[in-house]
Amino acid sequence: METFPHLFEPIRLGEVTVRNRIVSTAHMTFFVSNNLPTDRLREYYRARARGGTGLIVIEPVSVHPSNVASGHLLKAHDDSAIPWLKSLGDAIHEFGATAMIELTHGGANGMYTIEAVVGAPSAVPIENARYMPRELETSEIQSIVRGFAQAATFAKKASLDGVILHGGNGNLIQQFLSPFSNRREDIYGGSAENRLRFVSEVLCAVREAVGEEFPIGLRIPGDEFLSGGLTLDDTKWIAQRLQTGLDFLDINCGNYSSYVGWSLGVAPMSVPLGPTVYLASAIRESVRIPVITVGRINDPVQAEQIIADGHADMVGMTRALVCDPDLPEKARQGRIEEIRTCVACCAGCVGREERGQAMGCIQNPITGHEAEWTTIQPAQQPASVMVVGGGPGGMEAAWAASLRGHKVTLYEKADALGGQIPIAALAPNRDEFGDVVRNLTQQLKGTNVCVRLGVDVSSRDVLAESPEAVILATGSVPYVPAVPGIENPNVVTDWDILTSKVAASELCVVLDGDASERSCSVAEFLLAKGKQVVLATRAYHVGINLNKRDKPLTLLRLLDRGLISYAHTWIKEVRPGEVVLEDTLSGIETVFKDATLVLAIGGKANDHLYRELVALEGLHSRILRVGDCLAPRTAEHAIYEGFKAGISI
Amino acid sequence: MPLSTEGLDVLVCIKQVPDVTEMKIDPETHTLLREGVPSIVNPFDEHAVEAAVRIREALGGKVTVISMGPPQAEEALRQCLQMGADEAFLISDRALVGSDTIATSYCLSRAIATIGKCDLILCGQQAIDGDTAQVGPGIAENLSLPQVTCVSSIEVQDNRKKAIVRREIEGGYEVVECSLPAVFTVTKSINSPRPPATEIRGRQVRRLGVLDINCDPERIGLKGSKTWVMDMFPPKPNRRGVNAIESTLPAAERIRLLISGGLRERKGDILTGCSLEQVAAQWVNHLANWGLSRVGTP
Amino acid sequence: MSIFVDYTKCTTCGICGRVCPFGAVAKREDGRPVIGDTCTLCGACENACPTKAIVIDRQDAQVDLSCYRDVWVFVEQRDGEIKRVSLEMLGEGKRLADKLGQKLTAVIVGCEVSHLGPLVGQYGADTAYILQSKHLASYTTDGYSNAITGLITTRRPSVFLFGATSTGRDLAPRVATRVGTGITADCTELDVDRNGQLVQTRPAFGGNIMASILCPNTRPQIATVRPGVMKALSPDPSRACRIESWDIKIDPRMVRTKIIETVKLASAFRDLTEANTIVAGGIGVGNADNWILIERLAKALGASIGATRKVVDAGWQPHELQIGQTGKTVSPQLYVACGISGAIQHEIGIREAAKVIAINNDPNAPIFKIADLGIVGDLCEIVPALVQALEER
Repeated sequence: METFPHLFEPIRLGEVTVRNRIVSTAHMTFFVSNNLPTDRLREYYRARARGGTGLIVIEPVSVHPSNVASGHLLKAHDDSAIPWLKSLGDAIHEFGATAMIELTHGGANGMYTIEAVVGAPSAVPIENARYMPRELETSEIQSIVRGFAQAATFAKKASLDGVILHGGNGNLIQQFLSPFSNRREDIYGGSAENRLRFVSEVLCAVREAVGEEFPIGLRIPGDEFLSGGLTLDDTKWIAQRLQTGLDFLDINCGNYSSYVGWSLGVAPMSVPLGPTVYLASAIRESVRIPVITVGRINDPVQAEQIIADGHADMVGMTRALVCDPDLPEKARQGRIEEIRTCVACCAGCVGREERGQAMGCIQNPITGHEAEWTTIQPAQQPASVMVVGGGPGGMEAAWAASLRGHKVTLYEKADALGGQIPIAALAPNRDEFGDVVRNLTQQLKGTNVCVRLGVDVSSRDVLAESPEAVILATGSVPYVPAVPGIENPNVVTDWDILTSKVAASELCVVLDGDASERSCSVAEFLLAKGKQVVLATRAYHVGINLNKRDKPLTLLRLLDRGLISYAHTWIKEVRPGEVVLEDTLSGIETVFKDATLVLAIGGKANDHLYRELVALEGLHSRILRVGDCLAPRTAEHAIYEGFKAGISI
Repeated sequence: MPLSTEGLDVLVCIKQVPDVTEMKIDPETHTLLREGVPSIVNPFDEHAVEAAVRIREALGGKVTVISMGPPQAEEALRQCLQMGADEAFLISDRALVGSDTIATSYCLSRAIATIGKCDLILCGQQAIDGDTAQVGPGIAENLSLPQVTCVSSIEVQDNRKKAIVRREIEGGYEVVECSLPAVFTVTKSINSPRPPATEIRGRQVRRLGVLDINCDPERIGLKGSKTWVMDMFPPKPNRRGVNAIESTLPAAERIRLLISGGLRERKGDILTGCSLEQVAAQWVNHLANWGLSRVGTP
Repeated sequence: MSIFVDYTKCTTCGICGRVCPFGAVAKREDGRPVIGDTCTLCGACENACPTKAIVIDRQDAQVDLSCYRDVWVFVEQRDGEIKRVSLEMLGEGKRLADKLGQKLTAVIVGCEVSHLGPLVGQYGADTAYILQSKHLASYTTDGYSNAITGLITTRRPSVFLFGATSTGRDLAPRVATRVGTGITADCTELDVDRNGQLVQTRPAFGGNIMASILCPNTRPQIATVRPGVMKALSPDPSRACRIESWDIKIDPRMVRTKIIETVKLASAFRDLTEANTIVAGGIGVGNADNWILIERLAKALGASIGATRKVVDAGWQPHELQIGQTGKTVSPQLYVACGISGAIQHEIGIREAAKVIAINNDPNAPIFKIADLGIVGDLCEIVPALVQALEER
């Protein structure tokens, strides 16, 4: 059995002992309404504490009214915060985890509303925001310093175990530290010493407010990855200067000022595992206090090696815990194959927040619904359930139905489970996505679900079986638009290309439908094979619907390889060997000779079985559809719907 | 000194060491921070004491523990008494200061000769501050006794003249018969040491100086040490497994290196369409050119 | 030898007390340091003192050591097969001997081991001393220490290196004590200083600090050397060495230990992160039955075995052998990737391999980009050919 002696060794942060080295670092969940936590947030933290996480850092809490924020950000501007801070702490303490909170002020990262103007160290434009901030006055700065101290006392009074000053993710403290965003000419700007002044004052004020023993940590980026911003040499110096007043450091990376910097702060799938461990490692060498490293640390073996090799004292495994809150317990018991590993798709967690929705996880429908779904009650009467389709939707549905105690059979017409995911995983930098199937397969192992591969279920089969319920997860096939000449041989689908069923010509025109992963993946695949690739999209630009962590890096890779993009463009017609595009705004046509048209538009529901069943006389089974066969979308929807369908029986 | 007449007289050599897992390097001066690090019984020696006590429990006899060290090492010996040892001796003397393993082995063997003949001498495989594993064999040589190192189990034959032991070697173990008296150094897999829970009840740690054990002054302390530490410096950090990026590079390049994982194209020879003979020849040539000898077991 | 604090330079900063590994510095009432009895003259305080107030006076005793010459390496063998650490020490020994302007001698002890004489010559030895007896077929402390000590006293080497193996760590201290000379354990670095002394560097205090050690007054300077750190030379088949061979008379009554049984433990999972050579198989191996090819190649190379995530998922191999995804990174001298396409996480896991050889059917497999030698073809045909080539050498 693999053991993780370093990972599960307790550690002292200030006066507090944390039971192991696993940290869930502070992250917004949008389980917050009108700046107050909801039960959903409490249950979310409770589940992570129960699953064995050592230190849970409650999401960022605003310390001062000048922080212009949406209703999704917790606010601790007065002592009415103490009761709800305590309730969050209690939920975490109930199962023995350590509870701390991150104190923040967004500065220039605030929301731009008609009511208020965001304040920052300097009026410097940033990529991620639309309007200029205003320069903060000295009196405001000092008021904000007092705000940090005040919020820290609320945390202490609420029996939380410590506070972390948020000097990362491009927030106000980082804006003061960074020469990019701080161009002030007073005592708070100019030299490195002056730029350090703000956070020094905050630290001093907080320390005075909470006393010597209460743990105070600081999050800073080891490297802003920003031209003109902080580099590792700068942050080593900052760490050394501040260490006497601090109990620990939390080292991440990136910034809010640039797209790429923002992306690296929550690095997506295309970035290698543990890419910023070296930053924490270098800082740890120069300071005497414990250091947390965070970023694409996915599993206990990796985490153990990081600590054993001396790169960090604790590891942030935030997304890994979003996906599987029981990861620590499973690791402790040596059941590592049972861990549902995060694939860093960023779609369900930060992706949903970007769309203004509450956080979730594409692989774990229970995340955010802990109260309702952590324990699924078995049904009064176990029923027979047929699940047709062994893609993510069907696999999840089968598992969920088995939780209810039903007798489930899962049918898949191919000789392997997975649906479209193995195809999607063939694209460059998407190999890790295939882990979703691996995790779903592992999930089924613990059940009595009977899996029948190579079986193409017909409506007659269903009638013969006559199950209580049949869940259809028959997926989709690539969508082919009705366009003149579409039946020509130089038209292929993205599946054909990824599975190497066809050879494409030297010039490929990829036609995109949803400005998202589908077309970018196949375009990257073709570019890696040395083809010349034109990516045509109806959207205002290529990849516009990718989530913000994926977008800059995907575009970077595509442009590096020489992608030619045509925006607000659609297919006009196809002629033998030729592809004709039309700009949807100007009407201008472009003809590509000797080109293959690769359709990456989306899916068309594979729902003929559904239609047959619905029309079938004598069938009394309940019929449910999940995923693409209902409406072609993504794996996220398939899994979510599969789960809900399975437990609804 | 009176010896027991039945059972086995086992003598265990122990050392008090700093808890090296608590030690850190001062990042500013790059030197070892010794302050505040607790002192413990060398973990391997705890296993040796346990082994000795178990032999006494099975066959009768006496367990004596000795240590060469400064006065505070008495605490470690007391702990051994609390594990069940019968007698304890601390050999402590200013003249012993600065001893290397040669001088230490000599001193301990003089002490053992003074204390009385014993049937078996046990040591921990190595001390965690020095990690040399040299003192056990050194004692054996000084006393002209046979030795077996890396011992993971001991079975004393009834006639007290022989023992059958397991000796751990790379990839497995040997079963070795050794005549007694002998010196064995033990590994951690030999047993699980009991906590120091027995009451000492009147047993004291007895102090011996160099005059008590008849040491040649030329062979102890700094004078008797053949090796000297000339320099101490921090180890180079283990950079394995971490793609460190030079911070003086421009941001765009740092980003590229970060997302590519620091992989570098190696541009090696790619053999396509070759016969098996050609492939085999290239294989052997490349290995030879790279100095990668296949010869030799690890 | 003495240590001296110049109080006119001392600023009572206290750094000396903090850095002393032996707790030998006490503070007087006026804040000044006093060096106590436990001082070993290691020099940590001397180095750390910012005003150079601490001085260690190292007067070397005058001893004529000039009749001790040459670097000796104890060549460890088992069943007539040489241990790799011995080849590494020959490589390092040659470098040291050259620096000293002296010769390298290999000392081979065993039974029916004369074939190793020419071999050590190829790996750098100028001379091979072969000591044989049927009582030396297996290692025993008494047998080997008797044989070697006699040779030391008559031939007088300046340096004698042993591998820090279970044998070396049993034998070397015994020999050093008998001869009355200094010994340093588990060296990770060796060098010759300008006085011709062997500088022996090794980790101490659990690896928290490195210590450099000299054996200035006695000979030979004995050290055990950590396996896998030094570099063996490329064997030169044209290189011959002078061989002296003795049949040693051993009185079996002098050998007080007897090996009753030797038990090999079924492939204990050697820690992949420490492995020197790794043969890894990917899903391209085809099926669980074909895995025997990986095992054969690994055996022929003396390598550890690794597997990709897909192979572990397929149930062909246990999780402990997995490299790459789940972050196990390896840094071997040689990594042979069989049937592995080269997903990025696996590539990163092997990024620090010194040399990578890849065998794959697909010429476009990404792994070929990071291979130092790539072989395109069916591994079911290629691997046996490679094994055969190794066995024939």
